[in-house]
Amino acid sequence: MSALTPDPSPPALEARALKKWFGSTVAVADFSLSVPPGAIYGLIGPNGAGKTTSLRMLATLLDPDGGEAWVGDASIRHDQAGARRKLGWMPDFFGVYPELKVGEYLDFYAACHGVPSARRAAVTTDLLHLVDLTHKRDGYVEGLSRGMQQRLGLARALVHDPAVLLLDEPSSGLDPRARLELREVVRELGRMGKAVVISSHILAELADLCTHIAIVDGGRVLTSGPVEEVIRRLHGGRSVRVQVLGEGERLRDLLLARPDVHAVQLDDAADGAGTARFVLDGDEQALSRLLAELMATGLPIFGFGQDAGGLEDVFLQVTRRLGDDGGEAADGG
Amino acid sequence: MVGEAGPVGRLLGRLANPLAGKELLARMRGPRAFVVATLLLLPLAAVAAGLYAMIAAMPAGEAMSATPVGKLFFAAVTAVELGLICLLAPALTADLISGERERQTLDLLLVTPLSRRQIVVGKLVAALGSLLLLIVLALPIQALAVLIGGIGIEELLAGLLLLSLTAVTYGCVGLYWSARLRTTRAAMLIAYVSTLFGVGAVPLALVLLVLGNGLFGARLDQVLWPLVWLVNGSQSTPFPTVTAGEAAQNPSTLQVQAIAGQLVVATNPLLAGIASAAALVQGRPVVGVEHVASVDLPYVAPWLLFGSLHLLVAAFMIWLTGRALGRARR
Repeated sequence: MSALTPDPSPPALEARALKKWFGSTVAVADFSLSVPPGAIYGLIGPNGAGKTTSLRMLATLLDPDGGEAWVGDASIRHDQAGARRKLGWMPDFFGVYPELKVGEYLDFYAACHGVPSARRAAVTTDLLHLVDLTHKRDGYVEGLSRGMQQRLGLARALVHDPAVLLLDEPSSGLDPRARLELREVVRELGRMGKAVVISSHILAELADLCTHIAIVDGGRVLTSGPVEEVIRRLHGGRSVRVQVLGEGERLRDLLLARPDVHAVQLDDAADGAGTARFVLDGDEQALSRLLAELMATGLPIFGFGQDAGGLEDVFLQVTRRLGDDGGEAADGG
Repeated sequence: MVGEAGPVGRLLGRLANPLAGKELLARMRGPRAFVVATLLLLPLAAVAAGLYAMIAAMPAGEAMSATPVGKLFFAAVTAVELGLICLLAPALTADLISGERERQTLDLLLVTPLSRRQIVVGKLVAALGSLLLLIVLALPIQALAVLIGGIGIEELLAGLLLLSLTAVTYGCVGLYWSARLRTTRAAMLIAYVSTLFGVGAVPLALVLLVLGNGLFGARLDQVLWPLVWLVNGSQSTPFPTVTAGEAAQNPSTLQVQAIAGQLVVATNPLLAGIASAAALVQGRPVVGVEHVASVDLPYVAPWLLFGSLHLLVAAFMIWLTGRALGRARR
């Protein structure tokens, strides 16, 4: 019976083959993405890859020249008002109204989003608490630091409790501390079940935040999916990092001798410690077996784990492959 | 029927959108509102005080009757106020959309469910609200003319109508340019040029025509006679080179010229003001047909024609502004 097969939960955001030209320049050639609820979806790509243009189309700020996208069940082409009700948008840079106070600022956008006046005070209080700006409620927006303004911008994007959040390079121009604070808030949003799409050209920023990634270059989504799956798909395995005190050469030789290990790279540090990065075919059990076998050799191992930096390799690998193919999307804006 | 908004309620709801509230708050907060009000009221009060002093200083024996003095006072104050409104309208509206764009806040408005028209109307309500507030603030100075004498409530209301609609129309022109052009500086410049052209071009052309009348001879009178008719009334003989007989043979040309003349006057607040004042003094009907030298000429009160024309232009400008906002999405 079909009633017994579980329905996969419908995506919070789905884009199919979005296209955008500016004159004769192709800004976005083929942007397709399916974002499940609760996912933190990182869009990684170099500057000019078409990330911002794609996000602006999803945010209903630009009309696509082709393709279609839905926020929930609202089409961004045919039901823009419906789509806007379900999504929150935070651009990489945005201005504030200097003459408004922090509380008034959120109240104003809540009113613009049609939040009833009776609920607005509570919404403002909750959001200020979420982004840790309660103590600034009666201060002028203009007087906030850049990091605080960015967090306030995130609160603004949430005033109508959207199911989907689009964040375009949210940490550009932030100091490390502000970056960490913002990242914590985004994680919290993921836990609240919101689908968050977050773009960045800094891989490390997304590596330990995102549950899913899409690699974008030349106006195309080159690959996308859950982080581990993308890495495995591209490497054909897991990206692993092993750190030893000295004896790096021996570790490398041991690894190279194994049939399930590829692409071994050894970084020697000045104090004799070495780090080997490589790709391992297989699942968690293979990983556990490898660790046991390495320990049995008596190597002075002090670090072993899956390498989050593997995203970087994946990214370089994917974009290089495209360059070698001489794909037409290389002229993307 | 509780909870069901009638058409008036719906209109008020649409006008009182959150953007209008925020804009008014922002405009009233800080020194800007006081500076703008001072910029209008100070020169106006100075002109009024000067005129009042001149009237008071006249020796009792030579004093004119109160009627022309009051009229002169009212005309002068209203003309100065018109000039000041024309200076303030672009300044208060030409940054409405371009300012949002420059401040990078426009996108944040466009992703809300507010429609483009609601954004335009919200911005406009606040800007025009502050312009109309200025006109209300200046009302006591204008109303001194009623105390002096010679000015009735109709003249005062007609003056207010001309001032308000000039503010609304050129405010809408400023708003349109602020949506159409990228920078506030460009929008402000073009808005001032548009206002100067709209308010100054026709009177300037008339002055030049009258000065050049000697060169063109009587042929100019054939073009300008509708103005003479509008100011001097139906009892005047406005057709200088056309005898009554000729006029009777060819009335349609004269009727078309009369309509064209009235429309030209209705485009301009200065001319419409003069013609309206004349019409109120002469007690002409609001709409009618006047029998002039055996020709029937259609007549509409200049303030009515001015009001209708300017409301149409303002509505058109609002529509254009909405379109210009939509253009950004392409």
